[in-house]
Amino acid sequence: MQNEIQVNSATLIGETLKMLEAKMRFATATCLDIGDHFEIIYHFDNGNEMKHLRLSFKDGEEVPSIRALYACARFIESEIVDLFGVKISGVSAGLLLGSDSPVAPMRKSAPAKSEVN
Amino acid sequence: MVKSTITFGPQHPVFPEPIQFILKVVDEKVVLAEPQIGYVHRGIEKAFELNDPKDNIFLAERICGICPAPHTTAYVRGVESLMGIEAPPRAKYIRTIMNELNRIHSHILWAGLLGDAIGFESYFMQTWNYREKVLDAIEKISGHRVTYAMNAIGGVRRDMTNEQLRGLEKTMDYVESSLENIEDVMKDYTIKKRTQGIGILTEEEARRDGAVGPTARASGISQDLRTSGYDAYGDLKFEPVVVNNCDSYGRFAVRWQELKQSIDLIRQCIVKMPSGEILTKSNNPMNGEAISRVEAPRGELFYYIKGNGSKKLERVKVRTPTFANIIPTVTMLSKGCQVADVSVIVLSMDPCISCTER
Amino acid sequence: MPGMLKIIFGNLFKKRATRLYPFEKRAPFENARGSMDFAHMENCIFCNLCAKNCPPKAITVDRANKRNALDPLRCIQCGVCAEACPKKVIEMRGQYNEPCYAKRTHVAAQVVKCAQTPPEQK
Ligand code: SF4
Ligand code: SF4
Repeated sequence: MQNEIQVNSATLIGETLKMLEAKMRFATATCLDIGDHFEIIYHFDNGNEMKHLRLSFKDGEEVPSIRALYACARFIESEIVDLFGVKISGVSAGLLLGSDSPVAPMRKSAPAKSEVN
Repeated sequence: MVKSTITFGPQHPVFPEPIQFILKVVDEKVVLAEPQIGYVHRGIEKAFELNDPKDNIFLAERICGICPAPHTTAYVRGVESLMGIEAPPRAKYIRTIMNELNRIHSHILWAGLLGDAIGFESYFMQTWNYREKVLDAIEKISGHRVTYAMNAIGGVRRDMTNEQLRGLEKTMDYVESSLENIEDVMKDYTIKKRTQGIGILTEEEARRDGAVGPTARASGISQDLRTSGYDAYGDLKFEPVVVNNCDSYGRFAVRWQELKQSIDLIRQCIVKMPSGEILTKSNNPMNGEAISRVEAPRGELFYYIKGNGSKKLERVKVRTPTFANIIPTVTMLSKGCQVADVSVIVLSMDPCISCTER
Repeated sequence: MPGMLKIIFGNLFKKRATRLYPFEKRAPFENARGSMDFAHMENCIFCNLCAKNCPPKAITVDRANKRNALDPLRCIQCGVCAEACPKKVIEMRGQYNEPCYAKRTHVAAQVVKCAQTPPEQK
């Protein structure tokens, strides 16, 4: 994608801080399951263009949370934790799913059956 | 100071959909609000990965019952950009008309719900009566009141005849004159008392919390994706509606002016409607990543679509405007509002919960 | 106040704003997608295109018995099948489906027309 910066767990906070200083709005974050690793893309917007931070990490690795910088990341991060079962520090599961729901249903390995196909 | 806890929702008369706010209350004042969602999560994002991309249009339509047009528009625009095709101009105009009709009916619906939350039931009845005419216009064009099924990958499925365009013009005249009938409500003493100064969200807070749509525009942020000129919006003349009230009244005013703006946009579309094809057929593989954003009635609708060249999409992420507006609402609530105003404040951001949780 | 009186007396003599639904029905709009119907089954070639294109997979095509079946509660009235059918067998009717008490499958069988058979013996 255009305007994309690769980050890792160590540089994520620093790059996010730059976005905050540039007065970018945090639009949302998308988590992707790429087989051997996970990616979270953080989308920022300033009204004219979007910028993206792409964080890659291994399964089981704990990544930092950006909700101290952007309060609106709170639900977005909880949703990722719920649906993908990844670890984000200080974020607990239980926003969208309950205790009897399937665990990490959005993973590629999660059993899924399309009812129609 | 005794703090008591009141749970507001998930079943509450003013909310058509389940969302819960746990309010910490001192006397009658709310000092802290904790939102709780997750009652209607349906796993639609997963279903996107399992179904055929063509069938997904109908799935996207069913994410939200109030704004099917923006959802399908965002989805097909994303898939089109993955395929590297573009809809023909006439299709773009028809899409724009559908999106604006959708905005009109959504805003009228919201105005009625606000009247209902305040206790102004005859206003609720009148607005929904006028909305019915808009739904009829939509049904005449698309064949269905709620799920339009107008968009297809590469264009639209149904053309509009000249007769339909004339009929639409008449409906717009009707809607405009009926809105004038009830415009005085904006000047009403009780309405002002219930909305002015209630649910303050300053510009700085709106930026910090990532508010979108009318909620942001009522706080003085000129943020309207239609100005980026997707579909036919590039050819149309309009200015985003921005007011500086920062309160529930401001959000009412923004929506009221947007109604008029939408009527004007539809009229411009009818005049400028180009002729020609309505569908670009393509079998290109879907490869790469695309972000497609559309201004829905409630604000920025965000679709992230990833394809890997195979027949199915690898990931579709949907971020709906209400999801972005929940945190600003918590900010508004936590400023010490009255318990009786909670319903007005939550309603003022126009919550749509089932599309929030997908 | 006088304005209000006008409205009150006006309302006494005005047509009502609502319809008395089950007794008084609005005619469906032209081109409305109320429900789908296998209208011209005699033309069907059992190509399975309608079933393949249907988003919720509400149609089953039974080539051996020359029968098509629709699950009306699955059908979302999208009209894709009508577009996909090469023989224009399927039509979208304006009338919405009636509410029902039981889940039934709507089966449309192809009646083989025979030129020699007189109509009363069919
Ligand atoms: S697409 Fe038409 S012709 Fe083919 S099986 Fe279906 S109804 Fe019959
Ligand atoms: S109208 Fe749509 S859902 Fe119904 S049978 Fe036809 S294709 Fe399937």
